[in-house]
Amino acid sequence: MTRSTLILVGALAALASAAVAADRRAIISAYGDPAGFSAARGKAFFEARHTGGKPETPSCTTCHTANPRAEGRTRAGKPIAPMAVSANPERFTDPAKVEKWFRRNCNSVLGRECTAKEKGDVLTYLSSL
Amino acid sequence: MKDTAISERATTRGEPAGPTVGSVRKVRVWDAFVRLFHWGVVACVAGLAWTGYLSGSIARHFDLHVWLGSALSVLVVGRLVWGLVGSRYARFAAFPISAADVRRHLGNLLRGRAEHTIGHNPLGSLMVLALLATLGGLVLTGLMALGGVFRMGPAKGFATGAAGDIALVLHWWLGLFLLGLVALHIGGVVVERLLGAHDLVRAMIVGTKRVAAPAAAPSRGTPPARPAFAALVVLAMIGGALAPTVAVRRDALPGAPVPVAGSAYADACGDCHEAYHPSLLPAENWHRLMSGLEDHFGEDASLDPTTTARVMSWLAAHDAWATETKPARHLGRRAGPDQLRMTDTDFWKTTHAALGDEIFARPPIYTRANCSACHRDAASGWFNPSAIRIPEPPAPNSAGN
Ligand code: HEC
Ligand code: HEC
Ligand code: HEC
Repeated sequence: MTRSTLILVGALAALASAAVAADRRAIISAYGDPAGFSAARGKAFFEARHTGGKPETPSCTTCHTANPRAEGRTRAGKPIAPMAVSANPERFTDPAKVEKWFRRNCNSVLGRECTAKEKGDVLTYLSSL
Repeated sequence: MKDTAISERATTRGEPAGPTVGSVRKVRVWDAFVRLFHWGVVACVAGLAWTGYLSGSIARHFDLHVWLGSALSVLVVGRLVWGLVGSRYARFAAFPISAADVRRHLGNLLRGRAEHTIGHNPLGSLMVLALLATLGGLVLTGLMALGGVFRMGPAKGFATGAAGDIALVLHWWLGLFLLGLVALHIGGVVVERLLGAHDLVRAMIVGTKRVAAPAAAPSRGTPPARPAFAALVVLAMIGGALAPTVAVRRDALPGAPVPVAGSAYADACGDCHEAYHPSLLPAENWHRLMSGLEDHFGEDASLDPTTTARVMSWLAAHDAWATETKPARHLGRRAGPDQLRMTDTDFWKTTHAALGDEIFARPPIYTRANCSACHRDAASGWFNPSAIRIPEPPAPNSAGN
């Protein structure tokens, strides 16, 4: 590879990751002003044992484990890639996917939709690790 | 000498019975192929009986069973051809099986006298023919079952599932019948030995029998053996069986299971567990399942309505009734209307009954519903027995910390 291609590839990669980060910021902003979200609240929510949902899934950690940098596992035995952005840069880059899983997982764990604030807190927490 | 003593009581076909004191000579009775055939069949049948009945799981030893069956079928075809163009005593035409032969042999047996035939004696000849016919039946039913049920081998292009099912039942019973014949056959050899006739086992190993000189009647115009011709016929049969096995692709057959990878269904239903093959349930069951995704086995698996409709019509188009595989026909089509789990079906419970709860619970399996943990071809929908590998739990030291 010549130096110019190396530079080109490097520049493209940097651009791509900047674009991805921008996507993620946009997804979080869609739930409200990012300054109002708290990683600490997100962590507490993520690790709490909730009631009101389905008995099989009392907590987000049931599947994602309490260590978001580690691999999780579904109840059907399938591995789930890490949730922490630092361990899995592809996290939270597709708004439809994020919404789909909040809808499902919040209903399973809490028996209701998550609020925009809860969603923003969780994403802030998982992006901050 | 012992041989002389025996020859004194010799009763040989076509020869007047009576004492024959005199020289004893060796006759080459079983040529190399007949002996190879005999002991080859012994080895194959032992392995086939073990894999088929005694091991307790034909599914776990499927490949070995099919390989041994293939070897056996080559031997059987070879022996049938050799019975027509082989060496003198191997020929079916030389078997002493006329009613008179059999009556005389039975009479001798009842009087406790041995029959000193050079080739097979009359009852022995009948046994050989019965064994060959049964082996032939096993080969044919085996190939039909392989083709119809598993859609493998030379018959996969034409054997229907129903024909394969019937063939498999026949195959199972014929196998037991064969084992019964084998027991009788061994009994016959032992009786002949006890009555003081030839050591038939030794003859089948070394190929020669010692007979009183007059008994060794000169060859009465038996045409010479034609090994090259026989080999050619056998090779042609092998080619004729291999050609359709290789040329017909299983995945191109009508009713072949649809590939799941890349479908909208795989995207929608493959996140929490493998996207189960659509052929594992009938369309009505998929419909019921798709109508209750908000409460899906204790989880919300809901999709937007457009995706739900799209996935549903895809599942219906490739369901158990649209697919001709063993799991589709035996598991999917027989699922009760309320059974939304494959793991609730009678077929599933029966086939997995021998596996304890602790096997399903251990990593990396975790649950009965993790089909692909053990069935390496689960995604294809075939669930072929030879693709089953129960994964070992990870070693404690590597799993720790
Ligand atoms: C029953 C298991 C389970 C539980 C409980 C669960 N999740 Fe998930 N979650 C999943 C699976 C499976 C995915 C899809 C993972 C993937 O795409 O790698 C997922 C994905 C997500 C995503 C989208 C990730 C992305 O890449 O866009 C978010 C956000 C999420 N979960 C948040 C939560 C929160 C918050 C909770 C608790 C309220 C929770 N999950 C509880 C199984 C679960
Ligand atoms: C949010 C996670 C999730 C999603 C998404 C999901 N499932 Fe499931 N599914 C499960 C769980 C959990 C089980 C129960 C597994 C167990 O018993 O081990 C299950 C079980 C099943 C079973 C029964 C397996 C058996 O034989 O026991 C079928 C069939 C099934 N799912 C079909 C689907 C289909 C079709 C879709 C897509 C519409 C889908 N699933 C999407 C979580 C999910
Ligand atoms: C723990 C490993 C394991 C899991 C998980 C598992 N199976 Fe099996 N399966 C086996 C074994 C072993 C056999 C062979 C049983 C025997 O000895 O006959 C088998 C047999 C079968 C057969 C019959 C194969 C044949 O032609 O004889 C089918 C079909 C099948 N399984 C479907 C499934 C489906 C569908 C699932 C998931 C819902 C599943 N299995 C999950 C181990 C497993």
